[in-house]
Order: sequence, then structure tokens, then C-alpha cells
Amino acid sequence: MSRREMMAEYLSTKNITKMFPGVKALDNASLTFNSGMVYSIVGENGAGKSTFAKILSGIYKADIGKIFIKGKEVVDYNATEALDKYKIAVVHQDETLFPEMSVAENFFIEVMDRFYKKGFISYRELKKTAEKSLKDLNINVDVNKKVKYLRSDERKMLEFARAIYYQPNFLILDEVTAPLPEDKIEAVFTWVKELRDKTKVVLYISHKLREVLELSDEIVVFKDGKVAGKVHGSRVKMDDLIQMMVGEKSFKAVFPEKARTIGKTIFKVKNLKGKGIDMEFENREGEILALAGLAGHGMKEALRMIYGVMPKSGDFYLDNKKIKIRSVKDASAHGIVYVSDEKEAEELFLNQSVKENIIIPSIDKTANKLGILKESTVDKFAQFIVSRFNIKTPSLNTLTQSLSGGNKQKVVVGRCLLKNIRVLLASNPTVGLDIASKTEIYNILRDLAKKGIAVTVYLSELPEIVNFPDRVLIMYNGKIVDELKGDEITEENILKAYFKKVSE
Amino acid sequence: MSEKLHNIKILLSEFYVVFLLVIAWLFFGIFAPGFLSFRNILGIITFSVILLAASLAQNVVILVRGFDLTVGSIISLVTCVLSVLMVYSVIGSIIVAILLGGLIGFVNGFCTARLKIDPFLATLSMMFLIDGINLTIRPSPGGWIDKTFADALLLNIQGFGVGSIIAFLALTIFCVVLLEERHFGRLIYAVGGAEDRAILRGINTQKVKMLAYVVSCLLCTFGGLYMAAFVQIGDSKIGLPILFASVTAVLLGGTSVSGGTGRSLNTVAATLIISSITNFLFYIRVIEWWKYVFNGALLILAASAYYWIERRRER
Amino acid sequence: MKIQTIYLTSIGAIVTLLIISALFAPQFLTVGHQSSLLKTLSVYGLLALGQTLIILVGGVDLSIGADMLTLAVFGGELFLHTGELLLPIIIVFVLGALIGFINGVGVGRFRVPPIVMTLGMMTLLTGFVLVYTGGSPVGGAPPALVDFVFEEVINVPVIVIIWIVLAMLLWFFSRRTTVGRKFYAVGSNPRASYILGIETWKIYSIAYTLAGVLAAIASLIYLGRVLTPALSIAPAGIGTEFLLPSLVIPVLGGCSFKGGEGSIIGALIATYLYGMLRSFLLVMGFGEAGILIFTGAILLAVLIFQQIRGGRLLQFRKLFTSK
Repeated sequence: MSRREMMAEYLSTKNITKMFPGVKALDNASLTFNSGMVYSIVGENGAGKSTFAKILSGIYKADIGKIFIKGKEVVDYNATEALDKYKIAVVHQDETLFPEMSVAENFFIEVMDRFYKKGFISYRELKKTAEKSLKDLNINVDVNKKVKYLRSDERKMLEFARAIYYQPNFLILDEVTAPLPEDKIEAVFTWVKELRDKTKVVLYISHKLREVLELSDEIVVFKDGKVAGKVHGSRVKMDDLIQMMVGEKSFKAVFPEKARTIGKTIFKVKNLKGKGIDMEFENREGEILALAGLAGHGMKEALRMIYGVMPKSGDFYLDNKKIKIRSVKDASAHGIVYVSDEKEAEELFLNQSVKENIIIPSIDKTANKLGILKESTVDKFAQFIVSRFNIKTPSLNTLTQSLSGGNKQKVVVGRCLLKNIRVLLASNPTVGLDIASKTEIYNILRDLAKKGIAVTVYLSELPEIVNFPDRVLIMYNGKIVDELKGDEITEENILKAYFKKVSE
Repeated sequence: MSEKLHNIKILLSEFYVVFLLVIAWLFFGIFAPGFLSFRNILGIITFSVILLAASLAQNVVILVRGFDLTVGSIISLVTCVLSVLMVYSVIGSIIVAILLGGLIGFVNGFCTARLKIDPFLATLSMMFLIDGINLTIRPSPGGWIDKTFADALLLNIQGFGVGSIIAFLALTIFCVVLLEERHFGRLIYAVGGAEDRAILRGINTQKVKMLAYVVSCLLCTFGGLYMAAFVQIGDSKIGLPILFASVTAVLLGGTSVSGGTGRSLNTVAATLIISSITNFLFYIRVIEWWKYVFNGALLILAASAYYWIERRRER
Repeated sequence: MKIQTIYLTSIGAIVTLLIISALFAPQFLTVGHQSSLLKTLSVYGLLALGQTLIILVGGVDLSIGADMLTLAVFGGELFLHTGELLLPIIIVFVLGALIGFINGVGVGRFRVPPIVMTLGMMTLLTGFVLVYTGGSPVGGAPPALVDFVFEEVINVPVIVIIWIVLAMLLWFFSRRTTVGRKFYAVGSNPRASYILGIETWKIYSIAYTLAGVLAAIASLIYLGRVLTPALSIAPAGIGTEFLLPSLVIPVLGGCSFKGGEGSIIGALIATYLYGMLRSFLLVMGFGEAGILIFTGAILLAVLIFQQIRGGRLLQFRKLFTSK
């Protein structure tokens, strides 16, 4: 049978519309998916990609619209039916594993009733089946281990294995490569291609345009909940895709100019040791320093250690004076600020007003000696930040949870300006944001650097690493293995540095 | 050999409360000769039946990240309903009690799971409501409980409360099987451990939570039947001490207030520890008020112990 | 914004009750009745304020009733056996703060869940008090205290003034001081507070200690009014008759157990509402049973209302239409 004959329609959607309070997440999405093809959906944050995936996989029900599988209309199915009846499996962007339960239990938790033996769950059967599935996919994990003891890439692979186990005809992967190291990403690609060869359908949702272009037969662009365009994977360039998503031609145009003059050292870290980390570096005035490397090699941990969230030993110098950082309190007192990549969990007070979220980090400074605040002062400061960074919010008193992702992040980064900040440590500050918000964050950070604040960021997206920082330190296994500055910072050099150690 | 030792170590750490119980009993045995007699231990088990029902019920609810303040009130309700209706029909009144228990469980579950009201507050309101109803149908302790019913339940053979012991074992086996060997039980751990993830997995978390509350209230109803058999009257305030004791037992047994962890056997062991304390104090002729001091101190110590264990694990 | 609604609702409810009283129970609207009501409420009100602070921080204090009674017993005994006036008062304050501080350290430093810590504290205190008193009433109140408690200034009872002034101070504290606003932050997201450099354990300690001090004040007022603390041998633990209203009132006043939501003023208004409602029911002839049912029903109604208001209206409708 030729490939053309195999490409029969498997699933199609007509006019899928989904609304949430105040926002139309999907608007008349009509798409066709044929067997034996790999599709991708790309788009900015909030474009509707994950919502679409959740509707297809049965988690959400569309408000309007129909879904057809193999020509027949299917109505209102839940996630279990999606898996059982329609063979639609999904690996979500957010983790769906239960930390306190074992790997084997996590594998089959929804369907444990299929393992009954005389009325009791046969754990032996459960473990055996899980073990076999994992071995078939070359994944090495102990099925008895509680999931909380697994690394993030092992957990993602576990979710992947789970989806594959059900032998889906339609596999949806939503941003799965984020926690994975390069070799595992290759493995995922291999399986995706295998599934395609077996005439299955793969829907690959990702921000990583490079991967999308490598894998996809057809790319769908979502914009504001609507299908903005469909293109053949082989006939499109990255810039074209971006243009369809945003309306801007080149990714490069989005970044602020790099520093022209670098001053003296502001912040120096020496002998930073702990949890496999052993490194030192310095950050100079006007310079944006980036830490980069394969996921899990210590960049995030290093920043958290310096800030005092994780235990460590080391010597720190601010303006050439030795300082002690034993805890978050010390770090904060010295003017070190940390922007976490755990997003809302660690940065924002969602049920508090925008004003409160802006002022809380600098509240001691804003009050008088007795600790009393003048509300007019608080308003003034908050308004300053909102205006300066173009934070879109109906009012200062709006609850932060109603803001969009990009604006939330602007609050997080922007409010740093109110503090007596000397050092800014940011871990993936723009991850998951749309290009417009990313741009604004880059500008904010560049502004701070110009003001003489030492900015050290952990970046994981190649275009960012190339275009944003003035100097890049590549890390491997907790140690710095390479340094790139100026014109040396190219994608080629970065990737070479990443893989230099791997191939040794 | 090392594998076996490893397994024993795991067993011990999973069921450390049982271990604690054994130590407590040995300790009590030393200071109160006669404590460790067969008769006395069986006596403790006999008297713990009602508390066990309540504690296991509370455990199920706390596992799904909930809380049930109606535990004591349901027990009181059962005694009151039986004390009023048994004169008309023994079987009928039991059925009514069971139906009411199930209904309360459903309402509790509905308010917490569907309406997403904070469990503490939702069950607090229900507790007020049920207490009010209890006081209405039985303004002062009294009424009549069928003697045959009480005898059948308690099954006193040669001074041993055989019926209670059977009930104790039945409750234990029921909960262990439900929570560890049945799909529904595992779903309880999943939903309690990480509800948002359970939703993404397609699990009907609301249904699981609601059923958890229904199971809990039915367990309480069972305890209520035994309470009625024990005291042979209806009393609107009789369940109140059971409420706090049930929470103490569940927490002492290592079940986390945030849900998702905590094994039934540990709750059973914790219940026995609490009963044993009262019994021990009685044995050494200490005023029973000291049991509060013991329980309170134990609770705080247990909680601090969890903290140290958690901290060590984080490193 | 949610809070404004609760203010309006509470005030609306009070106005409605006042109108109904005018029609059916005009004796309610006399200065005498209102004054007596407020005097009784002052004890509950102070405890409710303490509980509110703790709920704001994201915790709960199940020991607050037991705290108060313990302090009353202790204070009463001190008054009786030392004959002093000032010394026992100071000791009661210190002790109250200490109990609160221990709760706060347990929750803040040792990360014991609040329910566990305060339940343990309540049980412990119950034990100590019952062992010491053997269940029978002890202690007494000096005439100076009793007089003070009955004192009035232009027909307004002094203790009510104290209560309201304290409430105002606490409102200012919670809204206009750094520590107070940190209460909201820690209650809203303790993890983020930690990352931003807020010492959460200090915040918890302050909240619980303040509650302890409020319990101390409440215990002195209580002692002045009853002379000898009545220990209802509720085998659960003493003080539950004070604990339960202290949990209901903040909720009626707009607090959420999630933490970071609620207001002192709301709790103040809700205390009065609670008192009016109870009074009203008693006068209408409802016994304890009726009051319990009513309280439960109102609380449930408020909770459901909060959920609907909190943007769950869509979901609420869907409850009855989706499968």
C-alpha cells in the first residue's frame, strides 16, 4: 500500500469553540488529521493549543463544534473513553504523576480494575506489565520506586511510556521535550517517526520551532484561538512560521541591543559547591551573563544555591567586599533578588491585588521607621511599575489571578525595580510566554543591567541564548566547561559546547 | 539475606505506628502488671470498636484532603434515631439510620466536592445541623433500644465481647481491603495526593471524593449502631468526644492532613494506642483527666516527629 | 472586591434584623438590651478577632476557647490566692502570649499543621485544667475587676469600647503596617513569601501570639462577668462553646480558609450579626436545638453564597446540566 493510500482521515474537528469565563480559548477550529502523519500546532501562549489538546483527549468538552473519528461523529467523551474507545492518548504539558505512589501504580492508576484477581488487585501483574512496557521502550526505572524519587526527565519518559502502552492511534504530545536531555529527545523523535510509519497520527505541540520543523509533515498555526494557517513541514522556514504567529519577520528584531561597554565586577561567586556543583564566575556592570547547558546540569540549582534556597558553600563578593549568604534572608538583605521559574507557585500571590504583589517584596522599604505605610505612597509606587512596564490590568486593585501570563511575569520582574537591588538572578524568566511578553521582559532586564545591576540568567531556549546575553557560561554536570562572549555566541558554538562533553 | 532485611526495614517504616503500639503496650505492661493479660487486651479492643469506626471514617476523608466534623454527630444521631424508632420496628429503625448516614455522607461530599466549600467549614455547618436535629428528636438522654439487637451486636460470651471483637476485625479488614486492594481505594490516594493531576488523567475526582464521604459516614453509622448497643439509650451529646479522638487517632497514625498518604493499619494501631492510654491510666488508678495530657502531648510529639522525618527526607 | 460584598451583605442582614425586631420584638431596640448584648459579645468578639488574624495567615486555632478558659482558671486562682490585682493580670497576659507563641512556633518553625498543633494544645490545656481543678469550679475575681467589667461611660460599657478600639487597632495593623500586610502575603502563598525574603515563621508566631493575648483579655473580661469559670465537662476539650463561634464569625465576615482573604472589620460586623441572630432566635422561642439548626443552615448558606459569588456561578449552573 502506498503512503498516499494510507493517509485516510482519522480524526477531524469542525468549528470547535471553547469558552472560559471572560475569554474565548478556541474559535471555530476546524482541522483534519490523516493517519500516518505527524502534525504540529504552534502558536503564542494563550493561542489555544493546550485547550485543543484537552478537548481532543476528552478532558474538556467543546461548547460548540463536532469531532469526527473515522468519519463518524463522536459526542461528549471523557478521557477514559478517549483512551479506550477512540485510542487517543495524550502526554500533557503539566505532570500527571502521583509522587507518593509507585511507578507501577502511576502507570495504571485509572485502570487498576483491569488487574483484579479474585476481587483483589494483583500487584504482581501490575508491576510485571509496567516493567515490560518500560523495558520495551528502553527506559530504566525501578517500578517499585515512588515517583517522587524520580528525576524530571525520568518522569516525563514514564508519562510517555504510559501513553504508548495503550497503543494509541492518535498520540498528542504537549511540550514534552522541556525536561528532557538531548539523547532522550532523540529517542522521542524516533518513536514519533515509528508511530508515523505504523500509520498512526501524532500531534506535536511545541514552542520549539526547530523541533517542529524537523518532525512535522504539516504545521498548524494557532493565533488567538483561531486556526491562522496550515503549512507543509518541508516547505516552510522558521521565519515564515513566526510571521504567521506574530506578524514579525525575524526573531532577532525582538531582542534589545547587547551591551556596548562593560564596567567593573559587581558580583563575584567563588567556590560555589554543593550537590555536584563546583563553579565560580563574576558578573560585571552592564553585562548580562547567562548560564546555559543541557537540562538538569545544574544551572537552575546554582542560582537557587546562591540565593540561599538550597544549601551550599561558597564565597561571595559584592563590589569587591566579601558578603555572607547563609539564607534567603541574607541574600535579600544584600540586595540579591531571585526570579523563580516555578512561576505562580513561588512568585505570586494570586488572590491578592496587583498593587499588593508589586509592593510586598519592598514593603519594609516603603514604610516609615515604625513600619507604618501610607496607602498613597503604596499606590504611587505600584502605579509607577505598572506604567513603566506596560502591565495591562484594569486597576491596581485587580486580583492578580486575572492577569495574563505575560503580564503576571512583568509584575514579577518589574517589581524588582522598587527594591535596593544589586544582583538579579533569574531562572528561565520568559519560559512559556508569548513573543510580545518575552520582548518586554528582555527589555526590562536589559534596563536593569544598564542601571548597574548584576544580571545573571539561566536560559534554555537557543535563540534567547544567542541573542540576549553578553556572555554565556556553558555548564555540564555542575561545572562550567566553556565560556562564549561577543561574536562567539552562535547556535553552532553553543551546541558544540553542549555536546563536547557528551561525546568525550 | 540483605533483600529480606531491606523488606523488613520497609515494613517497619511503613507501619511504624504498629511498632509504636507494641512498645507502648510493653511499657504499660511493665508499670501496670495485669495490663498485658489476655482479658485486658481484649477488653481494650472491645471498647475501641466505636472509636475505630470513627477513626477509620475520618481517615478515609482526610486521605482525600478533606475533613469530617460530623463524625461524632452521626454516632449521636444513630443512637437518637434508634432510641425513638425502635419501639415501632427494630429493623426499620436500623434501615432509617443507615439511610440517614448515607444521606449525610452524600451532602457532605456534595458540599465539599461539587460546591468546593472548605471541608472543615462545610462539615462544621453540617455538625451544627445534625446536633440540632439530635436535640430535637431526643432533648434529653433516654429512649429504648431493643435488647436482642444489643445482645446480637455485642455477643457477650463468658464475659468476652465477642461481637465487638468481630466488628473490630471486620472494620479493619474492610478498610484495608478497600483502600489497598480495590481500585476505588487507590483512586482515593491519587485524588487526595494530587487532585489536579487526577483530573488530567481523566479520573472523576468529584465522584471519588463524594463516595469517600459516603463511605466515611456509613462507617460512622456502623459505629453508631454499636454505640446504641453499648449504652442502650439515645443521647445527643454522646458522640462529641469521639470526634476529637478520631482526629487524634488519624493524625497520630501518620495520615497527612494534605491527603494522599496514610495507611489504615496505622490508624487502627493509633486508635488502640489512645484506648490503651485510658485503660492504662485506669489501671494505675490515675485520674482520667490525665489522658488529655497524654493525648495532647502525644499528638504534638507525633507531629514534631513527622517534621523531622520530612526534613531528613528533603535532604 | 469580594470583601465589599460581604460588608454589604452583613450590614444588609443587620438592617433587616433590626427592622424585623422593630416589628416583632421591640424590646430589642432598647439601649439596655443592646448594651447587654454587646457586653456578652465582647468576649466572643475578641476571640473571633484572634481567630481572624490566624485565618488570614492561613492557619486555624482550635485551642482558642481552651486558652481562654485556662487563663480564666489560672487568673481566678491567682486573684483568689494572692489577693493582688495587677500581678495576676500581668501574669495572665504573659501566659496567654506564651501559649499563643508556642502554637506559633509549632506551626511556623516546626511546620506542624495548624489543626494538629492547636488540637494538641487544646487537649493538653484541657488535661492540665481538669487535673488541677478536678472538674469543679475554682478561683474567683476581685471586686475591682468585677466593677471594671460593669463600668460604663455615657451608657456605653467600657469593655465594649475596649473591644471595638482593639478591633480598630487590629484593622490598622493588618492593613497599614508591614507586618500586617505580610499576614495577607503569607496566608496567600507561604512559599512565595519565603522566596521573597519574608520570615514566615515570625509571621505565624506573631499571629498566634496576638491571638493568645486577645484570649487573655477575653479571659479577664469573662472572669469579671462570671466570677468563676464554668467548665462544662465537654469530654472533647474545654472551651468548645467559645471555639465554635470563633470559627463561624470570621467566615460570616468574609474570611476564607485558603488564607489571605478576609478582614477585621468584616469579623467585627459579623460578631454583632451573630449575636443579634442568636438573641433574636432565643426571643422567638427557639431552644438550643433550633439555634444549632439555624446556625448550621446560615453558615452553609453563606458558604454556598461565597462559592457562587467567587465566580463559580457558571460551574454552579453546570452542576445541574452536565452529566
